[in-house]
Amino acid sequence: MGNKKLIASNFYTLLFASLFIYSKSSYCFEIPNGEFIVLPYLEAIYNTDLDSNSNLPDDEYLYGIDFFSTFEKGRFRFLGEALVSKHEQEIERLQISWAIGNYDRIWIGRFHNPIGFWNTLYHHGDYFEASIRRPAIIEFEDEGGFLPMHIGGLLYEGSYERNNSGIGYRFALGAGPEFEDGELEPWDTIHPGSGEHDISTAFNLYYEPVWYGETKYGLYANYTVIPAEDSGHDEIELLVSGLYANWLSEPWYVIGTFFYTHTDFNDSSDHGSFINMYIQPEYMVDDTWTLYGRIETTLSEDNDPYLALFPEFIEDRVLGGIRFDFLRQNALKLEISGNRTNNEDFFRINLQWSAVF
Amino acid sequence: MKYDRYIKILLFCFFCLISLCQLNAQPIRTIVVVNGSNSPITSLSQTEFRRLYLGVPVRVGNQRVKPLINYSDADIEKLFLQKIIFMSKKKYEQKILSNVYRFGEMRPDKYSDVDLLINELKRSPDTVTYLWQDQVDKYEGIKSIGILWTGQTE
Repeated sequence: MGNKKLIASNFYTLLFASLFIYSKSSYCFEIPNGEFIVLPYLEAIYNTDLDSNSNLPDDEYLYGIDFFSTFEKGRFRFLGEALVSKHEQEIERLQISWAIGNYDRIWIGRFHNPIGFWNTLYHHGDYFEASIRRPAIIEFEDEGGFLPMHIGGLLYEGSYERNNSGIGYRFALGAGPEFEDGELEPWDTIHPGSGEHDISTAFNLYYEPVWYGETKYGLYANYTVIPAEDSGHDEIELLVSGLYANWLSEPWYVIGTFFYTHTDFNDSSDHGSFINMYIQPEYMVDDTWTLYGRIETTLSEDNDPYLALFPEFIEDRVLGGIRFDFLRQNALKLEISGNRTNNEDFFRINLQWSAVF
Repeated sequence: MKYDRYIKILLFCFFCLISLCQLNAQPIRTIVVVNGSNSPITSLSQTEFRRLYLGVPVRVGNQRVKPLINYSDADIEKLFLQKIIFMSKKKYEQKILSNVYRFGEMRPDKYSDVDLLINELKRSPDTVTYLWQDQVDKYEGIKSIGILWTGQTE
């Protein structure tokens, strides 16, 4: 399909979706003891200043719908999330849980790895993020991410109050991803016996000045053994640890995370370690407009054998963006970024519409 | 020129009188936490109430307390958001929708008809909501378990 036709079809889809949304007096589908949410998005990406031998396209158009449902009966809860997009159809989360006491819950199934905070704050919901895309270090596995964002197994989470402040905790144990066809492949709920998966375990501990408030300061660690015959190695041991802060004082909101990553290749003496960090300040001008920026940087990454497996990883990025909220629960976002991978420097412009039905 | 002073004093008194009349025109009203008379929940502080509506789980015995949103009256809706939740309607609805997506929490049911709201309180002993104090006196089968706000409506 030519670019003009693609742009026109995107425009009409956006127009009809907006009219449909505008005609509805309420959002989301409420089912007895549960909820059903639909989160669609349309996105246009333009890359400039690419090297002549670059693998990246000049422009790209993405679309997808994230389906989410939850059901609760007494202490039992079910939660499911499936993403249907241009590049994939996947069950992203499929979990059941039992509440223990007032504030703790044990989950079984496939869930998002409690690594840092972003991954369990926004999940796949583009609408909920101020920005269009996640930081590169926590990109999902099928979008070039090299950290395990999904685990299949057990998750225990909870919190307790102390003088109106809160201490929260999450512990995860289960099957991590394997390295196949140049990317990480998480445990698949539809084909649980497929592929080769090994252990992944994580903890996340955080302090909330106001219990259940948005501001949190935390630390985390994740250890994963990645079967990686596809990379010419037997297994890769990956250890990620770090600190994060999520600070809200309206109209300001800041989210930032520090990552220390260490890898060992079991069948050789190869090993490596590097540091990555990002910080994203957001300024809510009013209920309609939000300005945001983000800086991502990677240190000591030269010749890292694990990073060499992911040549398109964006090591450094400076990004600025604007978000416009319109109608009810619709958002238009425009981002401009300067990016550096291991091979090239380029500029990118992203434009996205996202919504919640 | 000496009359200027008297005119200023008279104007000052006039505006004071107008202001006093305005104050007297607005009756003092109270918003209270309410549940069914048969409910085992006997008290809920303002802090607990706010947490409940922001998605923090509150249990009495083995039963989780379910908040119901009262949108039956524009004044009570405005005061609930401004004086208790401290958020705009848009931000509040985004916040509770985000809780659904993050934790699988249920959003509180919303009622724009006060009779339906009262019926739900009577039917489900695990539910709570907020009403004007004088409304509680009018209906049977419900009780007040705490004061949320007292003042003059604008």
